[in-house]
Amino acid sequence: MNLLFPLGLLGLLGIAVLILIYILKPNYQQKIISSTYVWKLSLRYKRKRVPINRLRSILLLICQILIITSCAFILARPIIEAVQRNRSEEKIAVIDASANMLTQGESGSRFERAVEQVRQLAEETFAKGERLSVIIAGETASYLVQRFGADMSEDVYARLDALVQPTLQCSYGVGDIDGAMDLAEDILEDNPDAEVLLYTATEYIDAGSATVVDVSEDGEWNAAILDVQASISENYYTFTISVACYGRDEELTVLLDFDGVNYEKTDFEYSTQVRCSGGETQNLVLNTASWNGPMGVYSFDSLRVNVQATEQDSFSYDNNFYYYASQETIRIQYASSRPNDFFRAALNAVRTNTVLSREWNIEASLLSQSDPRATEGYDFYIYEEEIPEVMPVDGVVMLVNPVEVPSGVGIVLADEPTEGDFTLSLSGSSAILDGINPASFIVTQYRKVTLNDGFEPLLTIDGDPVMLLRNEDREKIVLLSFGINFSNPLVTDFSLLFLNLYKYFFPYSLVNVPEENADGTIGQTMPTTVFEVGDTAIIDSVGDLVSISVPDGNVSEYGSFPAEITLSAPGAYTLTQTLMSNRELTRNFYVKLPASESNIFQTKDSLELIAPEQVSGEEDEDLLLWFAVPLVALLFIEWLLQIKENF
Amino acid sequence: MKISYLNDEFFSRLETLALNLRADLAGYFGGKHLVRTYGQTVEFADYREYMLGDDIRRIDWNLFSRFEKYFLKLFTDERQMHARIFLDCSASMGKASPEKAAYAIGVAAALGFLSVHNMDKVSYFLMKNDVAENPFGTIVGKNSFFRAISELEKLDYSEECNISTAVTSCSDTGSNDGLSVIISDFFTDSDWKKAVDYLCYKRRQVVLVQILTPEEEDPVYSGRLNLIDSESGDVSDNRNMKLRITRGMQAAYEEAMRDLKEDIRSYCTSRGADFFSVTTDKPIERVVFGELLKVGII
Repeated sequence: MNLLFPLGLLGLLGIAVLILIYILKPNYQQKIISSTYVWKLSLRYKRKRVPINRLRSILLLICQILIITSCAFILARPIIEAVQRNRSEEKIAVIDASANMLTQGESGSRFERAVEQVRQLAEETFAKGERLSVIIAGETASYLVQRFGADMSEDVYARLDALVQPTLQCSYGVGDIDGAMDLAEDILEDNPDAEVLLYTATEYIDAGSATVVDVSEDGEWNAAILDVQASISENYYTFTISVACYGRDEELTVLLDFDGVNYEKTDFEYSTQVRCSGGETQNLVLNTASWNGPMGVYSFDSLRVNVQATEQDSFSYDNNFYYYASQETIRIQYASSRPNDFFRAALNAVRTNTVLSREWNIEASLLSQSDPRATEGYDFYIYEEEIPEVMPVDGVVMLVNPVEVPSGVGIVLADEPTEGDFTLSLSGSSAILDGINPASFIVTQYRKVTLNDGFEPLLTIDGDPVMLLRNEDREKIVLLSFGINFSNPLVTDFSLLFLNLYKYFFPYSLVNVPEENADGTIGQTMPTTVFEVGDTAIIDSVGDLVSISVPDGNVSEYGSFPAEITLSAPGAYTLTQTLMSNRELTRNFYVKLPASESNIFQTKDSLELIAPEQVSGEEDEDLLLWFAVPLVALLFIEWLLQIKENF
Repeated sequence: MKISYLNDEFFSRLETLALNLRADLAGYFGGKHLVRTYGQTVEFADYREYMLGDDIRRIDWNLFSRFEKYFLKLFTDERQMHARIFLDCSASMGKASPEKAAYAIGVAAALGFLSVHNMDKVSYFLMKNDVAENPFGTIVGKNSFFRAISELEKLDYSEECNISTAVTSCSDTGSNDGLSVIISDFFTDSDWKKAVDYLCYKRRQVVLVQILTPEEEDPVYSGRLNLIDSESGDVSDNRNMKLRITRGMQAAYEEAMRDLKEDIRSYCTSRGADFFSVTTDKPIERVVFGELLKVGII
């Protein structure tokens, strides 16, 4: 049993006082009477005293002593301490590795200062023989060291040094402070006495049981481009630029540096001034109609938005913003012995498709019967009811209802078509068939495939493949063994089938990972050129190798698709793909910092550090009740004894 | 303030009463008490045959004419009685509770008045230690009585009282001539029974009157008390006692008091004596018109 307030035992002095009172108290009061003779007679009538009755005379005193003892112990707040595991002095250092910790000061970055202070903490902790845990709150929280003692001090110092040398191991995203606190809580569950120290520049109004160590310096400030959005209005670009300045009131110069303006591959610059104060975001809306002489800006390849002030700010990662608007060209050749309006309409639909047109400039060459057929220089070749003299090898070849297939392709068709009313059915799975209901297709004539070497059947009629696909390195061929003229192309599924076909064979697509909407639905994947640190981009391609160069100069290559890329550093990325035609496609995209990290003076309401709940059975047992109940009982007994004493 | 029950109104109410003593007493000539013996009054009592030596003037000649035998006509006799009142003058009667002494004097005065009012004699014996003094002598007539009573009210109650020794050593207890009353609280170790026996032996009509205060009848005090006897000389006296008076002790006291009274009553009954106990909170008239009437004294 332990006492939370041992001074309460001073109440036991009351026992001495009680005994003193008993000693000093005049026990018998004198009374003069005449009837002592009768009183003496009455003694004969009194019941013989038994030992318990003799005890009763001192029972009152014992009872009062016990009451005083109970009161004294209640004052002393007695507890039985639970058996504690690993309960000792321990420090948990959490280093905020958010992007704003890269803010530079006179003595290095905030992150470096935090690491240095944690190192000092480690030295002090190990000197006392205590244990130390270090948690890095990057985009995901993780332990740097977990409950290391003094015997591992050198390892701890080495790991701390590795955080700042040779490069800062600070993230460019939002630090996962909550995750770090969760890790700290894991330790606190085992050792509730451990002290949590958070090294950050973020101010917490309610830090709870954690100690927040401010690593910011005086004089820090930041001018930032938070976002750039472009829209075309009356054929000219209008830009909305979000600018903010934190820590100072500054007159900022916003510079727009265009490249490849109006398809002329010329550069153009425009600058303007904006007054920023109080950390409020200023949205500049710039219409380019009157720029570039009278021409305005209706096209450009890339735009760099830069913010400048008279003095260099402390946080440079958000001073530039890149916006890319260039499109790569995809060329399609359509040749038919019996030109078909369906293909014309389908190609037109592809060109104007909202998603595809964002990324690609689609050029379609619709050849008449007399036009010469090219066998190279296109990304897509469509042959309807005719076959090329030489099978192109630099693009995707689509053969629609050929009478025969060139030798060497691996397909042999029946000499005579099969006629009747047929419906199609699926065979195999492919992205080309997404959303397709084959039963809606009605075919009246097709040619049976008598030899199939290496083609994947997609659609069949009574088991006979009528749509086949070969997707190999240099051979990308689609064969339809029925004619559009012998089917019902006006059904929507036909249009969808051809759109899927184009999308499937387009070189690549770069889309964002859709976020979950408020109603629980998943948003649409959209091609984009602006991502945020921490976003995941998806690259989809039918097979050609894609390489991506990241801002630090490293190049990553992706061969299997779809590939997910986690974008962890801000800056301009370049995606490169070499097509079958050896044509090299490049695409630039920009990864910006989270806008919240540009605010280097953040204030948050509370730190989500939940004190661990005591596991039942490991709680200190409060003995107050065990003393209070006997106290009440003793008071009652004392009251009864007093009554007995008086009567 | 001195307590007194004696006043004109009290005595005037007693004038209508008379003592009713036993008929077998002898007494003296000149009183008003009828006795069994035949005397010279005018009230006829009985006839008996003439015997040699009888006064021939008392022969009833009418009967002789009818029976030709000599019969004497007998008349009742009236005698004067002598009441002797033994008053306990120990400290227990007045030191602790003056109203008890006053009450005892009131009872004694009432009995004395009834005596002198009926032509009887009365003597007051003041018992203290082993002696029963009679400072007023034999009192005959109201004038002497009231003088004696006024002196009684000045009595000093102190020391102890040995009833048996005081009564038996008394030279003037009388014999077969009236009423003897012992007024006390009977809180004594002395054998008062000897006194009763002695008085009975002297053929006295004996009445024991016990005077108690309400507190003695039903003690209301409790707790740890050093009970000092009012007759004790100092604190170390054996009669003093330390007691933790509880409800049980009070019950035992009541039982002891009840037994004490019953003991006195049964002993008196066995000896043909009368006994009654009164408490001072009851009107003294109740003693006269209640208890004395009940035992047949008046």
